[in-house]
This record gives sequence, structure tokens and C-alpha cells, in this order.
Amino acid sequence: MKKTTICLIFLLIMALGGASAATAQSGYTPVYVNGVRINVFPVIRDGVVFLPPYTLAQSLGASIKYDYALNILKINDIMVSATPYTPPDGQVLVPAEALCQTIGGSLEWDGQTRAIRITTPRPGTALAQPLSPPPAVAQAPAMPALNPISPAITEPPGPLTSSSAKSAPNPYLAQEAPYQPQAATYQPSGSNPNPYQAQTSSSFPSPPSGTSSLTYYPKGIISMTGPATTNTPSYQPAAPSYSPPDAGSQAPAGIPQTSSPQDTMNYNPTMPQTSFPSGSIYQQPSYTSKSPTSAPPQIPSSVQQIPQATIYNPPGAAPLTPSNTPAFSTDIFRPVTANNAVFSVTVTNIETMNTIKDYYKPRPGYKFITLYLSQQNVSNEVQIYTGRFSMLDQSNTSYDYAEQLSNFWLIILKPGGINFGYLVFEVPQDARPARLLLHALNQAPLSLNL
Amino acid sequence: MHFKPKFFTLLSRMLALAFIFVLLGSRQIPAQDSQVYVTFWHAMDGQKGKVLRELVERFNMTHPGIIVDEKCVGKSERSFADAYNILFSSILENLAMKNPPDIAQVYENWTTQLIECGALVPMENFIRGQQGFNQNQLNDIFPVFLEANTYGKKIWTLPFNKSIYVLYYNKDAFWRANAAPPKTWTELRQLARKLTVSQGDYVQQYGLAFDPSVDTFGHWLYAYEGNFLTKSNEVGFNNTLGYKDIQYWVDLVNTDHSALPLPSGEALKEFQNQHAAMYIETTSKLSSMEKCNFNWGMAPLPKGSVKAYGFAGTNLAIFANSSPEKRQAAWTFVKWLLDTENTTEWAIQTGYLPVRKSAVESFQYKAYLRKNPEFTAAIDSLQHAICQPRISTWQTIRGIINDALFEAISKKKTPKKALDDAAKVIISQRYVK
Repeated sequence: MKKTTICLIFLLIMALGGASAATAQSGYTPVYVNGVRINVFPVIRDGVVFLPPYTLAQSLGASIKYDYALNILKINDIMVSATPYTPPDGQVLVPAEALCQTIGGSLEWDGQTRAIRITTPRPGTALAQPLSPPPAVAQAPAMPALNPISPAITEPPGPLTSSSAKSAPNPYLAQEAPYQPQAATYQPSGSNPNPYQAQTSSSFPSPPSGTSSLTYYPKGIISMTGPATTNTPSYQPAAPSYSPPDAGSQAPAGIPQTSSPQDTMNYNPTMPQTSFPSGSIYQQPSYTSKSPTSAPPQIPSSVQQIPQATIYNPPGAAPLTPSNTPAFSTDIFRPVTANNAVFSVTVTNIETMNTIKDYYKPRPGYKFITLYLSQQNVSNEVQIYTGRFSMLDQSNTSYDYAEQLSNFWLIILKPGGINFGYLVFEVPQDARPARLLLHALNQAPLSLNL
Repeated sequence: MHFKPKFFTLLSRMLALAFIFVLLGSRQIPAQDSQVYVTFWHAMDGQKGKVLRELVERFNMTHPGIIVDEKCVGKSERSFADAYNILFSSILENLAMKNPPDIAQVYENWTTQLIECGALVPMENFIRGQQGFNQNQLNDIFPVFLEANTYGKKIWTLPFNKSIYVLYYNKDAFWRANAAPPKTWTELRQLARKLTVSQGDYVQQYGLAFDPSVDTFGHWLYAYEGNFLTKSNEVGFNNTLGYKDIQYWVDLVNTDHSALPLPSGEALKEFQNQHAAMYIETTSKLSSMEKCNFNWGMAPLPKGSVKAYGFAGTNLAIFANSSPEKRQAAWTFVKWLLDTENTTEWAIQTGYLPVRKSAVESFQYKAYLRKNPEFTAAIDSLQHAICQPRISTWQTIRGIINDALFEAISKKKTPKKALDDAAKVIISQRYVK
């Protein structure tokens, strides 16, 4: 029965024109977790429902990790034998049913409402949110431009209205002040005005021209920590209070099939709460300090320090170093992939550091940015010269990588062959990685938005 | 008015003459049709580049039919640029455009890849050819070098700028401590402790300065008959021997506090400043020792259960894209550059090892050894030299092991975990078979 219905969904999705997470229009199959609608776009493939990992993790209150290198998918650190699916747009999607079952939940097809219903064993603890965004567009932080890589994650609250938005006090106004000094530490602006402040939340980063081949969604390593297993325990007490009061009472059918631009993203209001403390990838200060993620007001100030420490690796903290392991330690990976006919390049992680190997220091006023990447020959021919990488910052200044500090060496790539490693760039303090370019022969540079 | 036309005639004649001189003076490359023009790409900069340039000029003077155009491709203004990486990148880029150089310096792991894509002509073809080596000339090359250049029973490349790891030591410091160069790795550890001089918290002199790199890891591993990869090219370093190895270096730094782990260039400075009494590096750093205003010595690296020392440096390859004439001309140059006389001069002036036994026996080199008796340590080490893995991905594996050593020494991971993680990454990326 379930198989048949899932096949039906498959047909439905096919009829919609191969809807995928990035391109789905309104009219997609709704997904409910414990009766609460979550704003995701399921992809159904061979009868398996695939969902974006971060949203799923958040709504299940679980941690989902996927190690791209070892091809291991874990939920709450339990290995799941099912494999994720990467649609052409590059966003890794995880098999929802296998994950739910692993933690004792279930996934059902509700024929009446034509919806997917997920039940978790502890409905009370699941932090599934209705489509009620955090309030007030005006105060919503303007982070998207920061990080065009992952709109799905960094998406600010959209201009959706809901009862919770009206009833809840705006938590962000209160948060901004205490966070500011920290932001200043990491964002030596001076001549360089903080671009995030000027940004409005409704303007989404538009893909730079000429980068149509790239995807904004992760491919490869993904990981999302939900509140139940968040590694910053201090956040846990705050979580319940973050749930809008009417969370459980949302009538699924009553949710309008919104199609605002925000809606096409996988926005989930609860998500950022834990994604930021653990997101050690992108070190832009305002990203944290001004995002809706910044927890409700009642979180004591000591807690606010925690994400800072994990994210920024400030001087004095244990310096991050290029690590060999595909970064098991960090909880969030939002890899980006770009392809052309010859190469597929995936950046799996970005780190900012002030020293490398406790010894190498950048020039005064500079910092190091390390990009972990892999490059695959996706053509049918041997690629003798696999090109040269350079990085552009937000003002399109180009940087070559420091070969002696990096570990990425040219090799001749046979068809399917993969080269991997990390590139270290020495950039001015105020530079932010914007794009990685691969200059290979006889083709336009392959560009990845970071 | 008489002199005016005369003057112009004179002037025009002089101009014409000057013009002819200019034409004669500037040697056009390529010049005449009869001359074969050969490109030679390398990464030799500075003093070594100068020595090489002089050798090439001498070749061009003595071989009228051939013009070798040497070019240091590895030069870069960028900070942290890697000369050899730029060289390989240039080779590959131009190879992909079917315009590679005729001759180039290549590392063993590059050769593996270049052979696979048919980019090289085996040296064997020339060695066995009419203008080749006779058996004596071939056997004259140190066997370990020939072995490292042999792929599938064929000699594909020939050794050029080779160096071997040795122990540099401060003779004055040793004299003060009444010590002799260590014979074994156990001795070295004891000696490093003995040589460490501190005043309160300040360490005036460390026993040893070393680069915590894959090569350092290799010294100990080789000495105890281990290797990075097994014979079937599987990861061979995350075993008991490897754990002991990495523990040795971690103990030197973190238990004994007798060694300074620093990037090689910085470790050299500490040695030069007498802030470290021993320093492990290849013989290519020999010329830097001129800056030492104390008595320094060179000893073979300590041994473990056996004597075994890693060697480094590149080889010469001839590319297949070139025309037969160019290939033959390239061979003429390679043969000339590696003959006894020139490899001797190259070795004396750069600190690289002569690649021929006859060079070591030569009058010039013997004189050089009399002047630099320390260098006999390097020549002695050569009998026990070991080539690092030649698989195409070796360079990345090197970086991964470098990072593992750093993680262990800086206590970010336990030595065992650091090695295991490194092995895991290498295996998971299928970087070995």
C-alpha cells in the first residue's frame, strides 16, 4: 500500500516537472512532522522520500550527519544504511523514512490530504515548527548577502505572517546590542562598511551572472544538529520557549500553499538556533550576531559566548589547522559544487585562521582562509592539466593560494579521478571569500559561489 | 661644404657597421636552420640557477649544432609559492596544449603520471642507442638512483639534482658537552637532552631543530625497516612501527623538551644562531652553512636496526612531443650534463650529490672532500639511500602525513590517532591501491 502510494507521489512529482528542492513551485507535497507542517520540498525517487537534511534534523530534533568521504549517514550517531541522494542541483537530500525509523519514528503517506506525515517517538520534544517565521521583516537580520552559498540555511525570516509572529516579542532587537562589540572585533570595518547592515531581509542574494552551472546547495558532507542532541547544551533550555505557542495546533490543511520567494527555500524558523553555534564554517561575524538564530532574549549572555567561541576561533583559542580528516569535528557542512563538462569541484568546508601549524602567520592586516575541496574529472578523457584555482573576495579581488601552506597538488586525472586537499589563501582581514575560480584550459573559468 | 657629404658618408658607414655588429652580436634563438633548439625547464633559482646557467652556456659554446634554452619556470613573487609545483603545473599545462618542453626536471611521482599519459620518451632508448652509454658509463651511476628512475624495467629518467638527509651538528656545542655525533636514534634522543641548555624557563640551546614533516617521520621509519607504503602500495605506516616513530618525535618535543619543531627554513636559522645544536636536513642546505660562525659538522643520520636514509631531488626527463632531432639533441645535452666532469662540478658548486661513482673518485671531488671532509658523511649515506614512494598521489599523501605529525606534536591528537586518521583519509580517497 505504502509502496503504491509513494509511487503515486513519484508520478505526481514527475508531473510537476522533476521538482527538486531548489526549483519546486507551490503545489508540492506537504510534509508534516507530528502534525506540524514543515516547509520542505520532498523529492521522491524510486519510492523513497528524500528531504533536506537540516530541516529534517531540526524538525525531528535529531542530529543528522553525512560524511561524504566515507559515505556514512548517521542520525543521532546511529549509522543508517540508506544512502543520500544528490539531485542535479547539488543539494544532498537524505532518505527520510530510513532516518525516521532509525530513531523509532515513522513516515506515512496520507492519501486524504496528499501529504507525507512523519511521526517521531517523542512528539512533545520535536521542535517542528509551523510555517510561522520569526517576526518582523524590518528587524530581521540581513545576512543572506553574506553567504550566497547557502540560502537554504541562511534564509532570514520571510515576510510571512502568522499568529506567532504577532504574539511573540521581537527577540532580535534586544539581541543586537550585546552582540555588536563582538561583531566589531571580527569585522574591522573602517573603510569597509558593513554590507550586511545595509541589506534588507527581503532581498535575496541573486546568483552572480555567469555562474549558472553552480549550485547553491550542498553536495557531499552534510550535517545538521537538532535541538535534542545539540552540542551546545546551554541552548536546550531555550528551545522550548522558542516554539510558538500555537505550534501544535496548526491545522495542516489550513496552511496556505505559499509561494513567496522565501517559500521556495527551505526555511525553517527553528533551524538556525542550533545551526549557528555549531556552524564553524563561515566566520562572518554579523552572520551570527544579527541573525534570527540569536536565540530568544532570555538566553543568558554567557550562552551567547558559546557560538562565538566555536565559530570564530578568536585569538587565544586553540588555532584551527588544516586537518586531514574531512572535518568530522564540525557539525555543519554546507558544501558547494559546481560543474562544467570537464570538472566537478566541491568545496566542503571553509575555515579562517590566524596561524597555520602554530607557526605561519599572515602579513599584518591579513588572515588565512582555508578551503577544503575536491576536484573530479567528470569527462571521458584524461585531463592532463586540471587547472589553477584562485579565489575572489567580495570586491572581486583575486588571490592565488599559498602552495606551501596548502595541500593540493596537481595530478593528472583520469576519467572519474578525484583530487582533493585544501587551499590556503592569505587575504586582508576584511576580505570575505566570495567565489572560487578554476582556470582550466579551453573553457571559461569554473566558478563556485562561496 | 666639402666635408659635409664626406661626413655623412662616414656616419652612414659607421652606422651600417654598427648595425652589422649588432646583428652579429645578438644571437638569435633559434638561430640558423642547422641548429637544433632545445628547451629545458627547471626550478633552480638563485645560486643553483646560476651554476646551471653557466653549465648550459658552456654546453652551447661547445656544441655548435644545439642550442639549449634553459628556463627557471619555478620562479614566483608570491609568498609561499612552491617552485616545483609551479614547474609541474607549467609542464602539465603546456603538455595539455601539446607544447611541453624538450627536457624538464621531474620528481619520481610526476614521472609515474607522465609515463601513463605517454608524455615521455624512455631514457633507455637513448642509453641503448648509438650515442648512448656503454655499460661502464651506465653502471657508473649510483644504483639507488638508477633504481629510482626505473619504471617497469625501463630507465625512463636520469638523476640530476639529488640530495640526501644528513645530520648537521654544532661542533662547538658538542665539544662543550663532550659528545660525539649520535650513532643511533636512541643516542640522538639522549644527546638532545644532554645538549639542551636552559636557564630557568628560557632554553638557551635546544638539542635539535627539525621540520616535523613526512620526511622526518620517514627517517625513523626507514631506520627500523618500515616504509610509508607496502610493496603492493598499501598504507604501511599506521602500525606499531609507525606509532613508535611518531611517538619518538612527540617525546623529543613534549616530554624531553629537547627539540624545536619548526619549518625547515626556520629550523635552519635556529641552528645558525646556535639556538639548536643539531639540525636534520638534506645536503642541499650545505651552502647555507657558510653563515655559521662556529664549527659545524655533518654526520650520517642515526641508524635504527639498519642504516637507511631518504634521498630527495629531481631527475631529468625527455618529452615525447619533440621531434626526433630535438630528442636526440636533448639526449646529447642530458648525457653531457650528467657526465663525470659536469656532475662533479654541479655537485661541488651546489651541494647536491654527484650522480656518478667516478665523480666521487675524480680529482676535483677528492679535493673538494679534503676541503669539506664533512661531506664524506653524505657520500657514505648514499650506499643506504632509499627512494620515497613514486605513486602519483604521493605529494598529497606527503601533506597528509605532514599534518598528522603536526597534530601529534602540537597535542591536537594522540600520535596514534593522528596517524590512523591520516591513513583513513588516504584510504578513503583511494589515494593508494
